[in-house]
Amino acid sequence: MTEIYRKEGRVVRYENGRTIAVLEAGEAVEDGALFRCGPSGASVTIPEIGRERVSGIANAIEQLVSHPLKLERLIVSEGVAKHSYGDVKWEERTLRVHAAVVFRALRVLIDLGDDDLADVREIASMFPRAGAERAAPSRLRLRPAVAAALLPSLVGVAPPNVTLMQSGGGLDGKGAAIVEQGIAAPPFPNWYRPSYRVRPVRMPLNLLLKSSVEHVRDDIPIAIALLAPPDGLTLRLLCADGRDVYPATVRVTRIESADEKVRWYPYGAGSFGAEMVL
Amino acid sequence: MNEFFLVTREEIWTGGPKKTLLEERLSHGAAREEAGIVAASDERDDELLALCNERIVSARELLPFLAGARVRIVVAARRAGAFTRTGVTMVLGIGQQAVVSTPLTAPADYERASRAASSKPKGEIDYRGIPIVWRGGSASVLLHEAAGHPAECGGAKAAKWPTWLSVHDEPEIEIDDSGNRCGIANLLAGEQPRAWRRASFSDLPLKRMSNVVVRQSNAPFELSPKRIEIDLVSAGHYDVLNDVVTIAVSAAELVDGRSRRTLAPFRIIETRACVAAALSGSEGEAIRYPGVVCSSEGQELVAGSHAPVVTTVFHD
Repeated sequence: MTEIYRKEGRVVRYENGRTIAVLEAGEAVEDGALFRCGPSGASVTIPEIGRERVSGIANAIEQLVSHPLKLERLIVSEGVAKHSYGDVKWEERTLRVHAAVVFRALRVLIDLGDDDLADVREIASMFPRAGAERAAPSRLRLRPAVAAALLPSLVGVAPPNVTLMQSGGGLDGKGAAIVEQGIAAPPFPNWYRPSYRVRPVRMPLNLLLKSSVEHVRDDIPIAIALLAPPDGLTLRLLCADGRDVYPATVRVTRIESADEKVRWYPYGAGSFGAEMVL
Repeated sequence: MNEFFLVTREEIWTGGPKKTLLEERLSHGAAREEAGIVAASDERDDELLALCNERIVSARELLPFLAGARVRIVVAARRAGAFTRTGVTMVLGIGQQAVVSTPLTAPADYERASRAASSKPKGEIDYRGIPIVWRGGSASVLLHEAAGHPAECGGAKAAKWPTWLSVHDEPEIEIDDSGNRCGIANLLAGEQPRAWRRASFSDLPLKRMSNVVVRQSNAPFELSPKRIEIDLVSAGHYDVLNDVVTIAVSAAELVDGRSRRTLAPFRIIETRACVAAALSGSEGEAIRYPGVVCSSEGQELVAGSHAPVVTTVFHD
């Protein structure tokens, strides 16, 4: 069966001080084992996106991250896309922020899917106090952004006292409803298609961790940011304990609790982070 | 107004007499820069598309001779200002080995990768303390990371390089992706590459390496009876923050007198200062190494690589 997916989109991207606006329309055809894609030649019907929002977010981050911190990389993009697969049509609007902030020999990685800059404010205020490496604390609270980055690594290995879920809502890369269900192992029910230029793959979308214990203690050290992308279940983190701030490497072996208040982050094929205690 | 047009055709095949097409991608577009704002769209340039169509046909003719390889052919035709140029890249994957080639060099690179892929590793090794011989131009990857990327970033700490060594970016193109005339950059001296390059019409141009050439002049050279000989490198990385170079070696042998054994893939992880201090000798003219697919700021670009035989010794 030949499957045809079409997409038209506009993106405005701020990239380290420069701005680019892109519009394009493309299609992907899957015909058995063969995958083909290219521009569709269709006119883009999406109205122009102003630069003000991405510029505003970029400027706000540039003002928050000041000496002695250095903003090594800052990419802010806003996009609107119209998708169609067979008779199914849908539209989405996305905002993405990626920043790398440096202090001495440490680099904090920030990825956001909205314009709430609370995480950036916290990092900007605490990162300049970062001291020497310490051993990982025996119990550690994770900020939602850190927990969200961890979730894709938990697929298939989540501890038994928690449940890793795919959140329901919206449509996947083949126009099918994204269903809510437990995610333990492949095959996954939905398709992830980040671009018309890549083959869609079955992946858990919009991960969410549910715990029977939702109370999150706030009197233990907290990991406020990632210092490197997760390496499986090993996390390199910027931690804070009172006024002390330090880098530590944590191997996740147990999850004690996870709050029910969540925020979406662009890790993997989407991940809802919540405050979590390891 | 600065205008840039690009058409790329990409095909992924399994090579051999029964060649099979797995994936096919066409991309075209234009980027126009005015007053610091770039506007890009997927408009088509028929002349560039015709050039791509012509070049990909001739690249496909090699496929029957590349049995067992996964072959990615990328043809790109670009125009910046009044200057048009085309390029063809063939990435050959055989087992765990991959080389970046061109239609002209594909047969030799295929042989080289096939040979490496057919060797069964018979041991792991700690490379420290053992002289390493970087053969077949592979030292260009080490210096791409240790000298090239720091120069791209600018502001890297100075390193104490051997006086017999030179490393330059020598673009083989006359005009870059921003319509500027290209020039040679002395990477060891920290000069940024002069060519602005972009992976697609929707990418912003960046100053990136395009053709790294390592040379030696009156270098010492001594071949230790016990040594590691590196033939292929699968990846490299430079971390500007910690000034650390990582090289993933995919094909190497341990030579001890007359005995040779294939080593399992291993990683060399050293500070740039240690890389500079480890460079112990070199011999001969620069040899072409299969190119490097260099990823930086999300843009994958192919860079040419050339180096003479180089020796290093990394100490504990």
